[in-house]
Amino acid sequence: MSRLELYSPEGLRVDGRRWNELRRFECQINTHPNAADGSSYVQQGNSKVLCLVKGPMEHGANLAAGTKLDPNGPVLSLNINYPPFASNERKKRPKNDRRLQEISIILKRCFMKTIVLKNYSRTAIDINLTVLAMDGGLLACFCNAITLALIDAGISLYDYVSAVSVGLYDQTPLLDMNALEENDLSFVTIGVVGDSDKLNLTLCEDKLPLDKLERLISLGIEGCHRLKELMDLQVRVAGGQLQERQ
Amino acid sequence: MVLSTAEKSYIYDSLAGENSTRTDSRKNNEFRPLKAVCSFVPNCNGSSRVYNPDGIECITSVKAKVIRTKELSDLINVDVDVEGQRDNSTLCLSLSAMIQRALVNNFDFEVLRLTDKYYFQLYVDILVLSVPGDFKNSSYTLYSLLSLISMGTYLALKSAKLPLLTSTTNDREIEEEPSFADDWELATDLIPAESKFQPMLIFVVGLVGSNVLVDPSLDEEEVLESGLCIGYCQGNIVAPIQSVALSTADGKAFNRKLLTKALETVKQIGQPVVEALESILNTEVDEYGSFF
Amino acid sequence: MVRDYDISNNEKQFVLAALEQNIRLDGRKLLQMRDVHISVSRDEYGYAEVSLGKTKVACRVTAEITKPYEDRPFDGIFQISTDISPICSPFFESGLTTGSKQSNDEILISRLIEKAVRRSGALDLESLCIIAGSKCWAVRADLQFLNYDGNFIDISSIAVMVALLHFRKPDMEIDGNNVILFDEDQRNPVPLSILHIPLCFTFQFYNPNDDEENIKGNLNNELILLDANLLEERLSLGSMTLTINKNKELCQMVKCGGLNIDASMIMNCCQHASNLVDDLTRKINDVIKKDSELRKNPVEKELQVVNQRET
Repeated sequence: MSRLELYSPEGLRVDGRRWNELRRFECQINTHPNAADGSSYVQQGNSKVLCLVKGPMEHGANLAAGTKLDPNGPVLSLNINYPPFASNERKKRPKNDRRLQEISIILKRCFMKTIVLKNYSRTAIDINLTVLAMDGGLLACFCNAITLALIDAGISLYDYVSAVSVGLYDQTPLLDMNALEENDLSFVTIGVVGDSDKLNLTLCEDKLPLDKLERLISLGIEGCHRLKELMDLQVRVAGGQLQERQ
Repeated sequence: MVLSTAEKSYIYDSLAGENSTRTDSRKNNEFRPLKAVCSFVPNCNGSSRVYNPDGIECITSVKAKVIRTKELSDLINVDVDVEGQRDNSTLCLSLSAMIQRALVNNFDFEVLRLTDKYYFQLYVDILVLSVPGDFKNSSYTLYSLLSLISMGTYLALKSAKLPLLTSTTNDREIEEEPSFADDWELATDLIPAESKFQPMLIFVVGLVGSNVLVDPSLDEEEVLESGLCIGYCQGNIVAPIQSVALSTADGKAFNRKLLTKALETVKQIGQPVVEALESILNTEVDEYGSFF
Repeated sequence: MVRDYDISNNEKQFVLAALEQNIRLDGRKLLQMRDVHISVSRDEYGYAEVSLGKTKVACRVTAEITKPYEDRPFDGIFQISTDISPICSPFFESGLTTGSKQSNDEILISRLIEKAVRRSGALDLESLCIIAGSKCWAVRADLQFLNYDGNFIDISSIAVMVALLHFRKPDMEIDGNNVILFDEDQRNPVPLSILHIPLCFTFQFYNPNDDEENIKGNLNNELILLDANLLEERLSLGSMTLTINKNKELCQMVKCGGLNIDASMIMNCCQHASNLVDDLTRKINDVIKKDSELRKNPVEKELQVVNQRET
């Protein structure tokens, strides 16, 4: 079907990576110090995502009227901005796009288990995601960006959640897929907590032979650990700068 | 923003008098500090991000598409999306329509011409982010974003690059679809450097007493008697010139003198703003650099 | 008015304590499904009722001829509608209310079913095309939820698949640009072309320890349940839905947050589901086969009988 050779016999992918290589990962925190309590910017290859976190606060601006605050933990609300220019072909998405709604529910449930709930009873936390450019790995980028923005907002987490997508080309697992690869291959996005082997979220929407799953997941876990290191490094750099200023 | 009567009258008195003092001690014709970067979205032809220290931020992208048309006004499409507002809210629709009309009226369509039959069609998408909570109570005040949006559009248009046309420009006799060079290094600017054409800018000024205030802040907006948005293009005042509701307070009538004064002010500040924007365009952006 | 299902602390502790000793209140093992009961309509095509314990779902498949989508001229149209009405339980409200927890569940349920059946390509869309770009079949599966006792996702996937397998569309002939449809009496209606039967299995996770241990610890003794009932579903701390077909292909794997589970335990779940899928597929095929035997035209049957005598 595809005209492009996604994985050459020499073992190179369309963008010149090997099967187990991540795309260039750049991240920054505290990018919008005045606009929000916590903010982050994540760039995985050509995918760019911005995340703003407001909270914990008494009233969430995004909360639907009548939503009660929970005595056992915060109420998370998540809003995804996917502007028409973000994908390669200009495409306008309705505000109630089912796929984005699903992703936001998945992310919400994922972070409800990662935030130390008991510290934030009866509060609201607003998370605002903006996609600037999308070249694959939507859910993974979102997940990494939220983790960083929550850390920047000073919200206590048990550990980092890092996520990456892994696809399968014939017999070879490919780490961190770009949009071209995502279009033609089936892939699974997994999110890992800290340095453990524990999966917080998995999302696979295409057909995948069951016996290959184990290899994909183990490759994904490795990738997630690497991303976690990179994010941790950036958080420490930002922390150091903060200390110097004081 | 809710101000008490005493606060309002204090701000009004300090603004309306002969020697006006603004709440943030700016001059009457001074903008709040703004920062901007451009060309940072890889899959757009042009992009820009203009933001002020309050956190309000305006991300603009320009995408081009080859179409075959005779109707020039179809060539520019503007879409404004304000965070927290529905797509079809009056605010988004009127902002989109206003910018689109202003662009179409003052556009040099020659730069979009590819061949005799084919043109580039531009999609200008504007995203306004991190709107402060105060704005959510009244959608009117958001019109003050107009100047921010127009600067974003200016930068995005000026930074836009188009692939180099390799096929012939004359296709009146021969039917041929335009083809382009694959190499992005050869890309040309949408608006060539030697072209005199500049996209228009829209300035928002507030009128109070006998004074004209550029870029009124939130608390100033509360006491303004009227708001004006004025188009500026290549040294001239252009349409749209219209009064906008900057605050929830009802706009009052203003006299002719004040209007002339407002137009003069915009003529004065227009050139420095254009120069400032040009200097941003000339700053090289590192593809993987930090934009934030 | 949405009512929340309140569970008293005593009840909660009782259920969880029992689970820790591998006992479920209805006497099942942790990874055992409730009995699936499938019935299909005798006198019309494309109607199935499935029950799983007390949970009950009906699905009706219909088809009509329309214009295909412009970007996909060679494909037919397949839609699944899942409107959860308050008929099945007072926890659901008619119409979607955004923001509340209930509607989140509803969105997830409908997305999961949609992805399990439609995205996995269970129905061959190309076979629904009649004249490229102008006419195609639009198949629609309407799910009706009749009673709610947990685990809507698994049961819906079964119901949709049975109804699709059971459905027959009228036979037709193409004459230039005209399509001639034949009545049931004139020609036997034809079945849809189903490529595979994806089935969902939803696992629920419980944590006998505290949150800290779940994230940092190495005990990995989280409890895993299959096919939870309402009470268990409400108490669960996370769930995962796997969609698998007989060919051991994973069509969907969604674990939306919730308890953190070690990768090896997830692999065990996959293994277990792939063991169950054979039985369930056989059961579905048996039901369909029995039904189509019953349906054979009486005249045809007689002819067969005559034929058999001749040989």
